[in-house]
Amino acid sequence: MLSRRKAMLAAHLVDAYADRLFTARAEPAADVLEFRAGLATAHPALATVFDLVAGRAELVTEAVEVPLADYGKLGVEDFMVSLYNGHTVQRLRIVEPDGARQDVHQVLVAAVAALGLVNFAPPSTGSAGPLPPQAGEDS
Amino acid sequence: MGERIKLTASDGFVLNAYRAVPEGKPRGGVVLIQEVWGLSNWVRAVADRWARHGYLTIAPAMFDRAEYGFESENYGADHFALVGELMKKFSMDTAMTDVEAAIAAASEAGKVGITGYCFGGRISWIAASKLGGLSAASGYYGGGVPNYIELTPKVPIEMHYGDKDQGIPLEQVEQLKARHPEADIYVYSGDHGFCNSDRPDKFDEASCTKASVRSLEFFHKHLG
Repeated sequence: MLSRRKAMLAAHLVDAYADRLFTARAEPAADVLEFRAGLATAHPALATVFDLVAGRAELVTEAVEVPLADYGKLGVEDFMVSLYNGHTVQRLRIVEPDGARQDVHQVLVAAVAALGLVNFAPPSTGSAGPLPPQAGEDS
Repeated sequence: MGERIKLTASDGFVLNAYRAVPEGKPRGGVVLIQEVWGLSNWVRAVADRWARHGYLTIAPAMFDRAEYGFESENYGADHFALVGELMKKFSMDTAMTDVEAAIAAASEAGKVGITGYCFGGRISWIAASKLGGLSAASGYYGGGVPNYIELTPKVPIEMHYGDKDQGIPLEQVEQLKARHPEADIYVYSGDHGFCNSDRPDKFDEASCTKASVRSLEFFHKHLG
């Protein structure tokens, strides 16, 4: 779905999930910022999402030109729209501080996959899975 | 119900078209603008449906200047590059000339409305802003909103979009609505092409029915 609002929601959820992973660790790092910095170093997609949510990067909607050689890779809706819009498609992209651009959907897919790769041991006293309830939640 | 005809544009170009004639006295005329697949089976069926509702309907072959007689039932990616190459020759200026010819042909039935899907939705907005001879417009999921948002329609207009459209960002529809409070802009549950029943993976019958009823009522109100 091409929605800046929903892409930001997904980014915030990824960001929040990283915090919950910190909470769920049996032997937490010194602090959550150290933990997040470690995740960002290990997984560039997570670093990009953290930058986006923190406001260090920007999410923009823009027209992106598609070379004819890449037309076969387009979804049919992008193909149709591109034909009468100067061979461009609309894309949601993350603009990083240095001006580099990345497709937000690709970044989010990589970030979610990275979260699944994070290796941690659940608390030894917990029995409800890797993400115990937070304060104020029903158990 | 319909027949294939030729239209002559003001610059002398002769293009293909499909003409569907209602039984009895027409309520008015409708110009139906195709998606990007030419006068496909589905577009001709939609033209026939408008005729059943009482409107003389003209569907011009909008890509004839790029590739004369272009029509395709192939929605697959295997020929995207080929069609993309053809469309390098497409010009919005001459497209408007062809739409004018269709409006003239439809006007024998009275007031004329314009409607269309995808490419045709975009053309509906532009024609409503630039051309004479129209009394209403009802467009469906016209892509490239930033390329037409600054145009102000001269006739009553409504537009229909899908909330899961992969080609049109929802925020752009929101911007269009804010920029043109005079336009009736609706968002339905559906992807791009939610009215094309020849594409079962995208077709959403409930949303399309709701939108189509709105278009019909809109044209009843403004055309007759």
